[in-house]
Amino acid sequence: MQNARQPRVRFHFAFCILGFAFCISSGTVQAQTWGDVKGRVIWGGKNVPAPAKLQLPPGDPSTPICIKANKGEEPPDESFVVHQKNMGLRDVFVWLADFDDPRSKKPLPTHPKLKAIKVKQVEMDQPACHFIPHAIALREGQELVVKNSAPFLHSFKWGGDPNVNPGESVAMAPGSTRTIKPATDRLPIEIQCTVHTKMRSWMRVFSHPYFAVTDENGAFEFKDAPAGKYRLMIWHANGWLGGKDGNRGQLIDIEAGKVVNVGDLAFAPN
Amino acid sequence: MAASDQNYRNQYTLDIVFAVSSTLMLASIILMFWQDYFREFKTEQRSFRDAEAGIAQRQALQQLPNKEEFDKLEAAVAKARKEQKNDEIDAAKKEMEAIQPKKERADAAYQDKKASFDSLIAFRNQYADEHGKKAGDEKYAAEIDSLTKKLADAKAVQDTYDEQLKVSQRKMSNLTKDLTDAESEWKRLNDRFETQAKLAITKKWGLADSIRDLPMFDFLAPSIKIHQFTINDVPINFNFTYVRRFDRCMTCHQGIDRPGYTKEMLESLKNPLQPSLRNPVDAFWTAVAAMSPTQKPEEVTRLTKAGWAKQILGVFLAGDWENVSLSGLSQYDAEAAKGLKGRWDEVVKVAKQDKVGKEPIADYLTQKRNLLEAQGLLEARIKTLGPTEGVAPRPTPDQLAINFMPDAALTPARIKEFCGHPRQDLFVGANSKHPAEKFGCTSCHQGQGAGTTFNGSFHSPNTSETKNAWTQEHDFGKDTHTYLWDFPMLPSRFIESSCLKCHHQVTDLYGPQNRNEAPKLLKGYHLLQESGCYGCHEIQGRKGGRQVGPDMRLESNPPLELLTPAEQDKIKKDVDNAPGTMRKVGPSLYRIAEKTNREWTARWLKGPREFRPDTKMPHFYGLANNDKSVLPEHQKDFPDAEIQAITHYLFTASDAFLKEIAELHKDGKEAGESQLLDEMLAKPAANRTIAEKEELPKLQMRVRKRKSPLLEDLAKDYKGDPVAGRQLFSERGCLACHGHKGTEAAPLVPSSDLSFAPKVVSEANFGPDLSQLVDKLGKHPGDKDSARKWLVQWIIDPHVYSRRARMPVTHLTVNQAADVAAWLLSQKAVNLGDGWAATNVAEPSLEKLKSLAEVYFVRLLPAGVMKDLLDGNKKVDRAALVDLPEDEIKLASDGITSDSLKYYLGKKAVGRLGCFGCHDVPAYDTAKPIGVGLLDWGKKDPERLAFEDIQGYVEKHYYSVPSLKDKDGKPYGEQVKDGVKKMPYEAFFADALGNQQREGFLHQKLVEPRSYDYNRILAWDDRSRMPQFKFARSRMKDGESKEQFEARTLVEEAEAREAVMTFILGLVAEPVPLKSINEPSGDRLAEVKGRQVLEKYNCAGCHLIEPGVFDFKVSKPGSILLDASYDLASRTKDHVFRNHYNWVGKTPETPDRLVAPGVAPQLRSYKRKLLLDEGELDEWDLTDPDSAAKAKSDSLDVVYMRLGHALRFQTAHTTRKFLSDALDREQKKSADDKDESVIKDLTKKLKQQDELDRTFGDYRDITASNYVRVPAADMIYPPPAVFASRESMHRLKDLGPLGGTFSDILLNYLVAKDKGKSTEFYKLDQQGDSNYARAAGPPSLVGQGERTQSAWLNQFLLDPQPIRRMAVLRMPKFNMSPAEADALVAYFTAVSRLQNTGTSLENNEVIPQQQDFDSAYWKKKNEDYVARLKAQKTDKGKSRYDERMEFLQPYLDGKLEVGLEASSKRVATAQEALDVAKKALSQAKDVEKADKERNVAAKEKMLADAKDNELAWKEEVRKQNNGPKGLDREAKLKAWNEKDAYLADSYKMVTQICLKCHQVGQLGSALKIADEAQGPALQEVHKRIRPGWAEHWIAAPPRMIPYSAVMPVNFELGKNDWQDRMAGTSLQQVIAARDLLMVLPRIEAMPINRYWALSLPGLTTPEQK
Repeated sequence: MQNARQPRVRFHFAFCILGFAFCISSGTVQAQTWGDVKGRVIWGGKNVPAPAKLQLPPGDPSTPICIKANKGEEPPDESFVVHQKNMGLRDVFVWLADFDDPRSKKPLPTHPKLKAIKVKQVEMDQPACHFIPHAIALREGQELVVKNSAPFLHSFKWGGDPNVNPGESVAMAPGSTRTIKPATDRLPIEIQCTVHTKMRSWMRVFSHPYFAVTDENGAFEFKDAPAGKYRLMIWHANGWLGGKDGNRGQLIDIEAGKVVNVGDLAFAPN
Repeated sequence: MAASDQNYRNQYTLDIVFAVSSTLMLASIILMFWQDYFREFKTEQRSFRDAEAGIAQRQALQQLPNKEEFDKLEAAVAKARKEQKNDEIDAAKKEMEAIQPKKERADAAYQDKKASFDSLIAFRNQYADEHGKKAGDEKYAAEIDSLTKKLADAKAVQDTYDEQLKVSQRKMSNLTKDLTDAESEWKRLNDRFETQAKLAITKKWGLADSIRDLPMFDFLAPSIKIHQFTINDVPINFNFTYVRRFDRCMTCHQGIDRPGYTKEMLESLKNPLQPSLRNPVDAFWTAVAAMSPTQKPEEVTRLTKAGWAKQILGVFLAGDWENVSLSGLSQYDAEAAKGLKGRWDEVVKVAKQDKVGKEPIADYLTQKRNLLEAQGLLEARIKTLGPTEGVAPRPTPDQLAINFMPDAALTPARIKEFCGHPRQDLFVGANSKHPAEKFGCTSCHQGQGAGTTFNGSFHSPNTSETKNAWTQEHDFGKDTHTYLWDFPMLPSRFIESSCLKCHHQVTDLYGPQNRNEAPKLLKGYHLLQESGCYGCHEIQGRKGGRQVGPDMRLESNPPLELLTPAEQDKIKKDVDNAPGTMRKVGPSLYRIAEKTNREWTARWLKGPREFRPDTKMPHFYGLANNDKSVLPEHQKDFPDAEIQAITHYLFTASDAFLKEIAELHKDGKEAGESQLLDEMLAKPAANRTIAEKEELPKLQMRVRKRKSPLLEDLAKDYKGDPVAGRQLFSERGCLACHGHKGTEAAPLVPSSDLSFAPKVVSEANFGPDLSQLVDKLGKHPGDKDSARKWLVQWIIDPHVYSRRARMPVTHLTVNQAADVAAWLLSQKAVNLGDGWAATNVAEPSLEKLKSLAEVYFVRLLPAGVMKDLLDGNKKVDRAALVDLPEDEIKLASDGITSDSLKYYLGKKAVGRLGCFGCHDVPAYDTAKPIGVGLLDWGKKDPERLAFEDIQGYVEKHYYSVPSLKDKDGKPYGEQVKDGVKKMPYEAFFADALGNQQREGFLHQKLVEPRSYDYNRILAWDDRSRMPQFKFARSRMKDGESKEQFEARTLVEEAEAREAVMTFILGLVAEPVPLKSINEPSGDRLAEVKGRQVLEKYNCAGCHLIEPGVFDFKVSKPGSILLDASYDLASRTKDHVFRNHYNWVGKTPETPDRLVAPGVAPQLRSYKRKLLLDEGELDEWDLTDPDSAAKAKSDSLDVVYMRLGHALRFQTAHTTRKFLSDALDREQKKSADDKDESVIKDLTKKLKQQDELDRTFGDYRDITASNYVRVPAADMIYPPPAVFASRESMHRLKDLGPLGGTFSDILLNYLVAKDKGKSTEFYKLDQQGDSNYARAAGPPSLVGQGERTQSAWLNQFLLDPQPIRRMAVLRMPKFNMSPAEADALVAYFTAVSRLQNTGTSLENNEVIPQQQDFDSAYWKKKNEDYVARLKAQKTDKGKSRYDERMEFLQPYLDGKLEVGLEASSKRVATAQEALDVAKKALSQAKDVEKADKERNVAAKEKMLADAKDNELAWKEEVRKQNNGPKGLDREAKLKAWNEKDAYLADSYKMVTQICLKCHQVGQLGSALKIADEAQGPALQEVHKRIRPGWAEHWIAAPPRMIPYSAVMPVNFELGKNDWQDRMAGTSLQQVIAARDLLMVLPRIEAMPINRYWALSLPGLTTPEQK
């Protein structure tokens, strides 16, 4: 525990000293510096999964509506979304974590300009029997606004660590919205619709701004990350990068004023 | 002789004699007093007085007020005193003093006038009596007038002064109020401490006490005397008579009724330091205490010495205690520091020599420091308040001390003697259920209550070690009559036996809310039931016309429920001869020939446990008196011969029976004979002819036999699929009762979806373990065809084989049964090893059979005749045979052949061994049990027990151990001593055997029942017959060696045996007075009786029936966790039903002790530091080795469970504290760092906390189905030891929630089965639960009484119908009697009512919704609703009423064609879409083809549905146009306004929402949602569900079941969805849905609802198809 708390203590201490040093115009104490991180997650399995469709129950009256809303096709099965050309894997969560205790929920040193949360609300919709987006990363303090723009009933069930985000399961009338404010969670939060059992999606909530969800090219990036030794955590709904042991993350040394490119990380399904 | 002065005796001699005798007398008197003074109890009481004083001292110290608070209040007093306006007070006082005399004078004047007035009135009255009323009035009028005036004046003066005085008093009290308040606050803080301190001082043994208790004085008012309870209600049995009970136990056990007298507390009275350390530590202490406060660097405070001492001690105790530096102190006082350091070094030196740790010294010094503080407090108080306050003298500081008791005075035995009863909530205490004044001690503990010495009250040691200690201390056992008392105290291991005296129902020992109050006794009870002891040993609960114990008897033959109602009534009337209720535990053997073969049966009889290690069947052979090794030469083959004979008898009789029923089925007389029987029974018995009387039983038998169907091959043409069988076996509930080795491995890989069945382990043992089944079945060994035929029939309907089988009808189809059979028979039996191989039974020779038969004949016939008979000699003396019993005559007439002999011997053996006690055996239907009745075995005189040479046997076969586990907890195993294999034997029982005690006898009887024949020569059939049972049924664990397993089994077996003994020893048949007997009534009785039925059918094997009771104290971390749980639970927006126990918990009796109704308890570990410091609750992942190591050093073990009902607790306001701390931190941040939104958020949350405090005060409710965490160490019940490890959590099976095991097994099975599939349907959520998998399993029955209607539940129990489509299994049909179904229904209702005292559940509920639609109920609902519609506006400003009118237009106008048009349009659209899809398919690439094909199929379905719908519309239009003219517009509108609106709109809403997952009435059959995701059809709801529950469920599904619900919250609190369907708040919508469901089938056919249903897209009603 002692270790986990150290960075913050050090950080505060540093600030005080810095202030002091500034006042008496002397001293050589180093302040926190910042660097950028970027990289890509690519498919590392044997066979590249082809884009698949969800198989909706044919008798369900909402099925034709979904198909219609989805350009005449059934909604995509998003368990693995791989770019067929550059092998980029979408919907992978990537974030920075404390070096000593990657499970810690303590906020990392945060760049002053990232301190305030600019975007207060993140939206999610379910117009055509699948959640858009499929993977969502939030910073604690942000709200998730869930919409139901479909003309039929959905339900919205979410829940993470029961001690932090016990979640709920509620019906969503057509056109209704619902706002939730989840807390930092070391577990992923699963989102599903109990009416349409194939609808699933994932969310993670962080106490700091250094996280990303990979785009269709598998790319991610976060700027102005604190310099020093950290862990880069990489998780997909299928599991950690590197299997079960991946929950300790990859070591990363962020250098001040530089961009650390971790390159292509291959994700093999567990 | 002449008179002389001389004495007759020499005076000198006489003087000497006198002197000597006086001296002797004096000596004897002194001796007498001496002896009296040191009588055992007096010594004990004196010693207790010391302990009492010591405890009072320590309790006073514990009550020391918190220094901060004390200082605060003291300062407040000082401030008030300072601020008090003394001038004004003085002035007010003076004013009061001035008024006082005036007021008194006025009072006197008034009284004077009043007296004059009264006497005048008296005169007047007297005069009026004499002269009439008028005259009286006239005579005295003037005087009265004047006096009345004067009186009024005097009163006015008095009132003035009164008022003045009051004003000045008020002024005075206002002036002094602050001080008085402050003082009383301060007093309140100190009072507890001071009262305790006073008590501690008065408890010290003073001079006065010594004098009072001196010999010669102690008859006056001794403080040492005998304490005695006189118990009239529970007299003591002295064999000849019942005598009043005097219990003097409290004479020595003086602390028994004091809750604070715990063992730990008493232990603390002993000096924690070793004698060698005491001197240096005391010297050090004196040095510390002597230091002057003026030397202290800081300001002098109240508790100067203590504060000072605390500082100095802090230095010593906090740091490295060997290298203390006193630099801080030496700054101020170098000399003192040096002195102290020197003293301390001495302490360390001695401590190191004696290898003493830091803790005892720290403890000792802390106690001393507390004392100093307490003394300081007293001193300060005296200084402030003066030496005395009121009359009672205040304790002075010097009087308060800590006295340690020497080890010699406080022996372990004394600690036990002085400590309080461990369960004072249940016993001893005046408010407990068994107060000592009423029950005494010996009515439960037994022993001689009147005894005042240790040995005289007949204590019994619990272990041999205790016994040895007692022998040392009390000469226990040296006295010859130690064991002569008939009922010595029960050793504590058997103490629960006593409960049976008054708790005859046994299940009433489960307290309300499912608390197991007598785990051992109940375990014994269950084992007795499981093993069927009552088959041979009847436990007849009644004696002399009254209930004296539990009633455990076999049911009559035929059982009560198979008789006609008239016969049943007749039997029920005779209370004293009521038939038993217990079924035989073994299967019926009437049809054994269909099931198995002779070879297997014979081997099984020889060694059942060799075949199935955990079988309930006991061993009859190979025992102490009939093992080959102990039999004489000519008997060595007897066992085998007898086994073969029994087998032969069973199969021959079975064959005959089967042949008979086959013939009966063919004879065609079935209807005739049944009718004849009815006629005959209808006739009064007296009118029957002799022939009829003879015929009747035979006729009855034939009719009954016809009810046994013949065995058929049900799945002739279907082989069965073992893969499917395995799945069915795992999923369909078989594992709730049976185990099977074959399911404990997953043979197939998960990828092949269809065939994969994951590993699933069931520890159930209600039914037999089926692993060996394949070796058992089949009419010939290895004959799989007959085995399969039998097995399929058994699985489909076991009652064909035996009508009393407890196995239920499984509702599998024939093919499914064949699949299961195929799998069971495809499983190879486990290699059983040498044991089973050795069970081969040799076929006996004719000679052997004859010599065995001689055993019986030798008693019946002269030797010669017998020989002739058995040799088949024709010259046998026939005349001698005439008197032979039936069986022998049959043998004689059948002729002596091997078969006839075997038949005869087999039948004899069955009768002798009592096989019919557990099995139905032909020809033994009405045989009486063979064993001794156990009704009063518990008080059997040991002299009537035949111990024989049992000690010799035990010495030869066993070695004695103090306890079956050694000091490290490792069980002892087999030992070879002097070349003989010996097993461990607990010395306690060896002792008991040696002293010829009941316990010893019973123990050995259960260990080795036949060993009492040791060294005795007995005839073959005279030997003891009791078979050897094994009760524990232990299973081998993974990774356990055979030796470890055997050693563990030995211990577990001993525990189980002791449980059985506890029950039997409790059967004492004492006629306890009726008022003492626990006779539950009403709901409690229903609960107790229902529980017996639950156990009989193993309902808890599948269902979770009641949450467990988790009793815990609230510690600091505990209250933080509770606050956090509340915080999380209250985040969900909930409809709260304040009168329901799922939202509102019971207010705890004391806030520091709570009872959580928990479900699925788990043990988890949390970071302690985070928990306490920051309120952040982070969990360790124990699978991660790194964090596991960290967790060990710094973690808190927590019991993590879900709540079955709400939990109410007193908040510690930690949430508020964390919030305000966070706010503080945030506000203190620099302007750059500060986040205003965080501050705003926190402020808002703090405001919410204020709101909570205002609404609920200190109490909070955590609603049902939320999680709570309780530190494992805080547990009271189940005891913390249960939560020591995951292993020990096994004990929760008896102490925790009732049932649910299979539900858990199935959950894990389904999750594992789905794992790796592309879309996992059954998937564990983050809580470790899976809502779909739960819904697929047996439902939880928590709150079942509220859920279902009684009538429905009753019929469902008797004949279950499928309800839930999600379920992968179906409720089987048990052969339960209607009375039992009633008992279960009453049980559920009673439990719900008991737990939710606010509910008024009726057994036959009245459902208001099911009244006529013209009733006031519905009219009112509709009226309100129409008003609501008119009042509400849509977004467009229209009223909701108008909106409805628009929609209804075509219906009201009779223009349904509009609907038809729309429907036709949909057909066209669907056609178009299909065309597009077809085109797309024709153009598709190969890869896409499958997708497109599915698309086309979907479109085709859509088109078909649309066409159906169009047809339905056409039909409706046709009805409208052609049929009898419908109602006109006005009438329709009127109906809508008055009756229909509410229900029609409810229907619209329900079809809109519920249809997504449920079939609503006739609607929804067209839906093709997968079954596993579909809710139960709603059309039966009105028969099944109670409206109250429906409302709660619809409003808040997560609150109503103790696991994750599939159903979402459809009508969230505060939401206003669906207004176009049903106008109103979400709760009004919930109620509307409830109302509708209660009448659904009736309203569906309403034209207005048909009109609506038709407009639903894609839906049709089957009615129209």
